[in-house]
Amino acid sequence: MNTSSPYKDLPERAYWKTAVAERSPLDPGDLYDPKFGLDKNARITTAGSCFAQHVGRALRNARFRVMDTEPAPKGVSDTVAQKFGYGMYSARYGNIYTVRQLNQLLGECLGNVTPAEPVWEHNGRYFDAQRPSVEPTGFETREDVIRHRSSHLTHALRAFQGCDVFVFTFGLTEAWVHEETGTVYPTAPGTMAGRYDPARFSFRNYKHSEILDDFVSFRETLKKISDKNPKFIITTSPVPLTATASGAHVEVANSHSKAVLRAVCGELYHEFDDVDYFPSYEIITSLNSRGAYFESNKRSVSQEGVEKAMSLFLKAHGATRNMSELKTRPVDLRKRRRARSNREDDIVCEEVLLESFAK
Amino acid sequence: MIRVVLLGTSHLGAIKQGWDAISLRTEGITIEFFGAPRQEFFQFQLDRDLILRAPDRVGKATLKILEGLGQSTEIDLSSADVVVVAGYITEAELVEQFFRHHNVDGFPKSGKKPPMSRAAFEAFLEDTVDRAMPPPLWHGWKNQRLILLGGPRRAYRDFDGEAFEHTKPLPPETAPKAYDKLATLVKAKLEKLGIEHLPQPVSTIAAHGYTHPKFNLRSGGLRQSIAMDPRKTNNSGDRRHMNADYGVEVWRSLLEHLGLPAPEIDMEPN
Repeated sequence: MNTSSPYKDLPERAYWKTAVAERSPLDPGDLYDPKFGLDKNARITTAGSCFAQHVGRALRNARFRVMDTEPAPKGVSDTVAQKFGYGMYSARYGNIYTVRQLNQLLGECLGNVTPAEPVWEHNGRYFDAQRPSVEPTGFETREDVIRHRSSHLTHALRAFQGCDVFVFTFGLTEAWVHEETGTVYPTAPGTMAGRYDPARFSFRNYKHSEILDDFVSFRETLKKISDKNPKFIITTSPVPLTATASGAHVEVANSHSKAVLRAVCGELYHEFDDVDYFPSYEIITSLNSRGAYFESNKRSVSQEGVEKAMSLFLKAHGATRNMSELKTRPVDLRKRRRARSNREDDIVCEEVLLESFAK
Repeated sequence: MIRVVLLGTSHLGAIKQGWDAISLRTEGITIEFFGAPRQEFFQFQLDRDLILRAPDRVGKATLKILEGLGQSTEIDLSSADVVVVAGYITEAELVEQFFRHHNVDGFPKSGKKPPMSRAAFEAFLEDTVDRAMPPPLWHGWKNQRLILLGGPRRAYRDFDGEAFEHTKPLPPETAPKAYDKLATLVKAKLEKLGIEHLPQPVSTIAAHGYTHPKFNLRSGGLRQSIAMDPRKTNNSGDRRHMNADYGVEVWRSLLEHLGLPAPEIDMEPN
C-alpha cells in the first residue's frame, strides 16, 4: 500500500524547520507572496491604526501614488504636519483603530450616519470626538469643530471613492461606544477630551463575526460608490495593546485581540480574490526575530523592524530592494532640513496616552 | 570709516542701485557687494574664519555678476563691521503658501477652500520660519553686526488686474495682518540667534499691504543692476524685484539703524 504523505516534497517554506528554525535571525524570509501586483500608477488610500502610518510612508517614499486629499501646505515639515493629522493618511481622519469606526466614517461621508456626541470638550477647548488627535489643542468653539469636520468628510469621501487600492491595518478589537446609538470613538472619553460617563458610554470588545461583517459591509459599500472596482490590502498591526479595559491581563487581552483580527484577515483573504493580506504582524512578532523588532518598551516597533517589514512588501511588489535606498538624498542645507523623517517618534498614536492612566 | 558688506540674492540688485544713487552723498562708510542668484547664493559656503565662498562649480552668470561687483569667488567677512543680507528670507513666499489652498481660521475667507485651524497655521508658520533661519555659522557673531533685511513683498498697483490673478498672492484684506505676523516672528527668531532684522521700510508698503507699485517700475534683479541696461530690466509681470527708489528707501532705513546720517534724497513723484 502506497502511504506517500501529502507533506512529502512540499517547498522549504512549508516546514517550520527550514522556513523558520534554520532561517538567519532577522531575515524576514519569503513570508509574503502578493495575491495581485501593485501598479505604480494605482491610486492608493491608506487607513488604520498607528502602524498603518509606516505602511503609507513606505509607499509614498517608494513613489507609489498614495492619495492625499487633505495635504498640508507645501514646505511644512512632515513632523509638524503630522501633529495636525496632515500626511498621516489619505485624508485627515487620524488613526482608525477598529473596522466599526472605518465603516462608520464611510457611512458618515455618505450622509447615512450621524455620530452621537461629535464634539468633546476639554479645558474650554473643543475636539472632534472622531479624530481628537488631528487638532491637539482643540478648537475655540463647537461650531469650528463642525465646520472643519464637514470639510474633512468631503475630502475623506474623495479618498475612499478615488482609490484603486485600499490599504487598511486592523488595530484593535476594543473600543468605546455611545451606549444609546452605538457610535464608536477612536479614543475613550476622558482620555484626550470629553468626560467618561458610564451611563452614556460603554466598553465594547468586538467579536470575530462583528469585525468580519463590518469589513464585508465596508468592502461592499466601497465597491458600490466607486467606479474603480478597488482592491484591498489588509494587515494586522503588530503593535500590542497599550492597555485593556476587558478585565483580562493586558498580555492575554492582546493575544485575544490579535488572534481575532488575524483570523478575520485570514478569512477575508480566503473569501475574496480582491483582498490580499500582508503579514507585517508575522514579520515583526516572528520567533525568528526573538523580539529584536521591538523597542525597549516591548511595544513600539523599532525602525529596523519597520524597514524589514516594508522592504519585504516593496520588494514583493517590485518597488525596491531595500528601504534605505529610498531615503531622501539631501542636496543643500534647506532641503536637508526638509528631509522626511522616519523615526518612531513621528508616529502619532493616541492610544499611548492610556499609559498615563497607569498607577 | 565703517566697512559694510552687502550679501544677497537677486534682491541685492535694488540695494545696489539704491547705493549707486546715494553713494556720492554718503560719508563715513565703505561698501562691498557680494551676491548671486538665489539658487547659487544658497550654495555659498561660510567657513569658521568667516570667509564666504562660491562653490567650485559656480555658473558663468554668477561669475559675471561677481566680476561686475568687483569681487572674486570669495569674500572675507571677518574684517567687516557690518554684514547685511538681502533676500535671504523672502517673507512673501513663506506666508503665502498657507493661504493659497486653505482658509485660515481668524483671517478673512476667500474662495471655497478647506479650513485650516489657527493652531495649525501658527505651528506651520513657526516651523517654516525655523527652517528658513541661517545655519549655525551665521549665529551670534561677536565682532560684526549681522543684519538680515526683510522683504520685499510683491508690488501691485491694484487687485483687479490680471497679474494679481496670475500670481495669486494673499487677498488684500489678509495680507497686512499675515505679513505683520510673519515679520514679528522672523524678527524674534533671528534675535534669538544673535542676528538683527531690519523689516521692509514702512514707506515702501502701500495701504493694501503690498509694496507700492512705484518701487517696482523699471526694476530688475542682480544681473540687471550691474549691467544697468534698461533693455534688460524686467518689468513685465515681475512683481518681486524692486528698483533703485526702493533701494534708496532701504538705505535710509539701514543708515538710521546703524546710527549714520542718511542723505537727503528727493524721490520721484508718483
